[in-house]
Amino acid sequence: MEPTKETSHVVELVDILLREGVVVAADVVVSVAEIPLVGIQLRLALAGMTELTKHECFAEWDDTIRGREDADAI
Amino acid sequence: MSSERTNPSSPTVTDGRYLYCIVDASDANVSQLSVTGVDDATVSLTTYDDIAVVSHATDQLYDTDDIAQLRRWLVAHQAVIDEVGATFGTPLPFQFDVILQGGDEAVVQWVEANEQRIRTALDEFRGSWEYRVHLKWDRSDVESVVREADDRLQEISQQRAETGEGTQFLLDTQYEERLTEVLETKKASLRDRLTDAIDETARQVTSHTAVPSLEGLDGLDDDTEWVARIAVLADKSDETELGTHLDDIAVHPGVAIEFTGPWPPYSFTPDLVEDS
Repeated sequence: MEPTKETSHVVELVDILLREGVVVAADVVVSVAEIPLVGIQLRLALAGMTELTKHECFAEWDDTIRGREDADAI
Repeated sequence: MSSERTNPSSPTVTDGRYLYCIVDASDANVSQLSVTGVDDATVSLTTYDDIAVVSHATDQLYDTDDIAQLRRWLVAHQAVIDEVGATFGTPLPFQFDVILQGGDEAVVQWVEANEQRIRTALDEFRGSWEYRVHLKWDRSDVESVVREADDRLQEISQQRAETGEGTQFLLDTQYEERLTEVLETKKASLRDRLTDAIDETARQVTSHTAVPSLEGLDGLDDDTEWVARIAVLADKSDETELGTHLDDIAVHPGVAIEFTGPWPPYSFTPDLVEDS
């Protein structure tokens, strides 16, 4: 099988971007998704995140990714 | 089109820089990026020697209870990292909503303070990407196979058919306990096989909790269950081989594998924590 980045993988995108990646801890940092400063409204919003999959934005992103891969393959 | 942030109580930021990723810019003669960032912000590169940090200027945090808004932000964040990755190679990605105060100067100072760790990480991940492997199964399909294959379950079924109502309840309980035991054993076996298959190709592997941390997002039907969620760091050139190994696992009845990527190495990024 080949790896994909499809609209249905929205769970991946949300789970990854809010929880993983480089986190900076320094005096100059004012915002990290892991801490309550940002999370209050954002986490409330997550309860309804299944709606994400219905929006076209992810499809557009998917098309962009695929277009680039197609171009690379040429 | 810039969208309105919906949290008026969010503190404002003084000369903030929203961070997307860090890249090695030594091989790419690029000073500007064509992609726009979160809220259509203009994305720029801030460099320290050959290390470039991709960011945009912001005066506020990004917090919202508007799902559509959050969706656009997340997609925009990932799109920037995808574009940067295609141009410069494997980036060190930041989480969503990591913001430094103090403008480009603060960004440079932060890179300078963490230079060695950043260089080590960029070298380590060069040419490698993160792939996600999710193994799910259809419980009813797997149960069907197990019921046929397990001698003890067959034995209990036979006993139940031959006994009166009073004993049936006890046998039903025994049956369910045995079924649960067999299914858990099978899950563990599948995880082991999956790990073995991945290990042949992976540079690093890390297991995430079997069920996504954001409940309710998975959209699974009633019979589908998570078995494993694994992040794999592998060379792009080994992507096809990795997929072939996964095919060997996916042939098990009732088993489905999602293979996504390439992502930047989100699950493998080191701690870049400035001493304070």
